[in-house]
Amino acid sequence: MSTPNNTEIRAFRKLELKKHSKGYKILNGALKNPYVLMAPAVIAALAISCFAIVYCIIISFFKWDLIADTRTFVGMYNYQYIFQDPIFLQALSNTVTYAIFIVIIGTALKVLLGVFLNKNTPAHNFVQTIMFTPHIIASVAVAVVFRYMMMPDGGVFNTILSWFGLPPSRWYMGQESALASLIFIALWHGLGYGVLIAISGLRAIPDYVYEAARLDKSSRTTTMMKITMPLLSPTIFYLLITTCVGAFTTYDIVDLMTQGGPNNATMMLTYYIYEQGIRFMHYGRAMAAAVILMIICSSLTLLSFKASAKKIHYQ
Amino acid sequence: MSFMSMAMAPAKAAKPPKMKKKESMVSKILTVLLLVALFLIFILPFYYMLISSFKSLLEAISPTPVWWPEEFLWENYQKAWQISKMPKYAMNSVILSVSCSVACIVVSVPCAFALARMEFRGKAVMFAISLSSMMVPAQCVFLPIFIMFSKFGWLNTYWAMILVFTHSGSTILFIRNAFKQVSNEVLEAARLDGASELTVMFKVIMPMVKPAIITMALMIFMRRWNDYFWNISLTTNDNVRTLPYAVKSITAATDGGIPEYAVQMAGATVLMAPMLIAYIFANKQIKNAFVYTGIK
Repeated sequence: MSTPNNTEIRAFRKLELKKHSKGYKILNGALKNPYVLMAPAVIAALAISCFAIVYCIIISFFKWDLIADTRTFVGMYNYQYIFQDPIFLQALSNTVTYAIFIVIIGTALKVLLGVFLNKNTPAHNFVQTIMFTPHIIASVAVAVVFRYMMMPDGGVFNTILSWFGLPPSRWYMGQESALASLIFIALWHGLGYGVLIAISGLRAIPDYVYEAARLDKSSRTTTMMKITMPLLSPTIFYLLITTCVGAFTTYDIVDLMTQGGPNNATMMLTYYIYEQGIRFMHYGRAMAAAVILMIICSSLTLLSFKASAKKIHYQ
Repeated sequence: MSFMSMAMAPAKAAKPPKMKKKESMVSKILTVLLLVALFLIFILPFYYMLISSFKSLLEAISPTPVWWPEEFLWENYQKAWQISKMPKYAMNSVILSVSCSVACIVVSVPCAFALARMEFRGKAVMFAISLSSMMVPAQCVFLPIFIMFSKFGWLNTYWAMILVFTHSGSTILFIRNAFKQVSNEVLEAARLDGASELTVMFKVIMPMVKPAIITMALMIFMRRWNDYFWNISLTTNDNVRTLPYAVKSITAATDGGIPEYAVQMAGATVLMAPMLIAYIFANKQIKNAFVYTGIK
């Protein structure tokens, strides 16, 4: 059996005969050894991610006195403490509220707009391209411009509200509206990516399925509900999980816009961890909170891995 | 020109004989209205950011938004550049973005190769370890990393900032999948002809997975460029902080008690300009990269 690029490979071989240096041989041997190949990545993973996960879990059972630099084992005390800390509970409920809104509204919008924009005309493609733009720019830029546009006096948002005769809002500065403002920004920020994924999921549905539906004189609604949605369900599931993890780990916008305020109205789990850990140096408490967040996020990720191993392809 | 034709081509090719005729006037108008609304919602912040970056101090805080400044003031950019010591931050951004992409690719490619094309003891465990970073978000694990680096005295070093970006589970997974698609026969043929592993690796396999590697390198570059979180969690001074932090630091700037919104917008524009320009010229490739890697 001859192979297509035999001659090419002979040429490499010739080239290679010249090289007999010791370093070349060692390198050549190394390439056959999977352990050598994997070493850098595995060491980096162990040193950063695995170390951090394990350390986080261990320290969450300790009380770390920074002044005396002593660590004393306190069992579940940190967990008991944070679950009695009103700020943590507020953070937990805020994060869950935020996640629920973003996951439900966000996923619905992503799928519906995906169906709407999947027409492949220049206009639809152009709008879809514009919608994706927020995803590739820095969150700092997004936060800065939305802070400016959400100014209570002379901000764009209140002006637009007044065009429709609606009362002005204090947006991210108001106790009631702060979380809603963050939800709005997160939706704006994440919509384009979701629509892109939804469209790629829709395009993966083979045409003959629709042909068959048309031959059976299936109505548009029936086609949508009985064919598009079930076939799109792996994509929808993927979107649900990534949006949910994204919502639970949101940090940048909170830090840049509200810093958990006003009056803890936008305190999130991530911000709580950061504040307790880096600002107040309560390492034990911060890591207990981090473990809670880690459990939430990794179970969501595992769920999506499990599902994708079963049948899902989202490309 | 080529960009234009690329955008138009699929529209012509894939014109489906769908229910075109049934579309009534009402639904056409609704479609157009929705398209225009979406366009406005998503373009407005960008437009407003750009236009505000040229406003004067008073225009920027006027009680009704100024949609077109009377005079375009380029000084705002100059000011942003000076107030926040932007040259230093920009330099850091470039250094770190480039070195993180290089480091991550150099570490990930051999690992991905071994995972894709070799059978060995403990492969499952090593696979799980090398994907570990996908399981937990940075916001959970930054504190142990912060403590470790401060013990080593690595805070405020390039080294630390690069190290946290060196290992990325999603990169390894994506490149591994690319390696998996290389057909075995070609490799066997090369080996039968006596090509060394080094030759096989660099002359046969590498050209085939090059697109995947370039895609991932650009993704890491972009992630590092836009990153804000590691900037604040691994630094205590501005030695190695990058552009996003510079833009954040301008938000505190005032002129006689009046916040300098125009300067902030100028800073934000500078921060997003490289990504935006890249996106304008290669939007198809960038979108595809996000779809195929499945990375958020």
